[in-house]
Amino acid sequence: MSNKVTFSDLVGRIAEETGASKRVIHDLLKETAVVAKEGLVRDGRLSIAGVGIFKLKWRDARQGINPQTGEPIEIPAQNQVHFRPEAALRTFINRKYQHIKPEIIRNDIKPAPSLLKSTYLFLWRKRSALGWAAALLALLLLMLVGMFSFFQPSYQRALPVGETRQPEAIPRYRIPVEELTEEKKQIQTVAQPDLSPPSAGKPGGVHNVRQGDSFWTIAKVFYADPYLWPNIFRVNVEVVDNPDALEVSTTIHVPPLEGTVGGLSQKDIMNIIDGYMQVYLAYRRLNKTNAPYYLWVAKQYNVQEVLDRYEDRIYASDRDFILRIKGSARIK
Amino acid sequence: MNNSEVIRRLSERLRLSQREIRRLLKRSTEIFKKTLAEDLGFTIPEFGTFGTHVRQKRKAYNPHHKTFMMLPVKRAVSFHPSSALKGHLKAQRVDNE
Repeated sequence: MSNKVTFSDLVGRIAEETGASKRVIHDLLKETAVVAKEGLVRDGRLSIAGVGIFKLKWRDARQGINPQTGEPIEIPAQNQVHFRPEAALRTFINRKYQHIKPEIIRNDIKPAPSLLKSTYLFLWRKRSALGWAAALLALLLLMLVGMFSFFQPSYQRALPVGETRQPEAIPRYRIPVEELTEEKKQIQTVAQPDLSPPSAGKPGGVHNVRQGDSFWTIAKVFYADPYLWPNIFRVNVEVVDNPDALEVSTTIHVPPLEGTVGGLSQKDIMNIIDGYMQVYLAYRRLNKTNAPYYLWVAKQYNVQEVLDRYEDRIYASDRDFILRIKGSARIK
Repeated sequence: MNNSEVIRRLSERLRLSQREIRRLLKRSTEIFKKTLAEDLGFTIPEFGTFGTHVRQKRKAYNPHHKTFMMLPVKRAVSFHPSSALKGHLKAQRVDNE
């Protein structure tokens, strides 16, 4: 209770609401107090409709301590008033929290003791020679297993974002053997990615997202230039909402490039600009602050044909913002 | 003492009809409710103080489901009897069950 209404204010409010005089309401409340006291003393129980039930609860005498001096004091037996507000009153003052429901906490189960600890406890309880022999045997077995697994190749771990695994080690990227006539073609065979610069262009392909992948890493492997990642995002707009958060096991289509890095064709550049615009729109939708930089990169190319397509979707504030960015961006 | 008895006693003491007392008391309790909903307390002299306080969310055990639950935050009404009322009550135990 932070603030209080004074009694006269309360009387005023009720008088206004009922149309009765303040005098009457004042008397009514005072008399209610008298009658309530009477009822409590007589029955030990009082109910007032719209407020709740007041009940007396008998407290036996008990020993207490004076908090000021620390002296023990005798608290005499007495009646305490217990008030239970009516259900309607309780729900009314809790309207604000009505939508919050109790939640079951599922992960609060006590964790089982570790295998080592339980084994130890078990052996300790059965301190027989057999038990110790069994313990020794188990230890020996554990050591053997440990040594065995030590010489085995280590498990494949997911790499952090920004790194790629050597494709020679594991065939990860599946590229169709046949020439891709359209961008979204089904996977046919598993093949090693062609990392050596091919004579003409970069083949596209299909990539299944794994832990640690990002458009950046995929572009690095397929195009050997991570900066071209918006070109991949461009054809996957429908599957990927947030370009920064790829979901594992999503199938990403990688469009082929006509030229190679350093000698991109006009069509490639147009596609890449289109990709940068798509990234801009996606980041804008996600309210990311780096969105205008992608717009700026796209603008640097001055390919009006692509920019005109997005003209009505560019924010005016971003238009002003990119004018203030210095430097140049050129995809070779 | 139940509500109708309270109304009867009040009508005797205030010399107003029971119908009128019932109406006034009902409206009064509505105002009490609204006041408490606005997070404001009030005192009825010689009786006690009403107020509200926030009961924070807490973890509780549900014995039926044998799980812990997070009970949400809620407001609770508090009543503190005035010393005048307490003084009258000290006398002896009353059987109220």
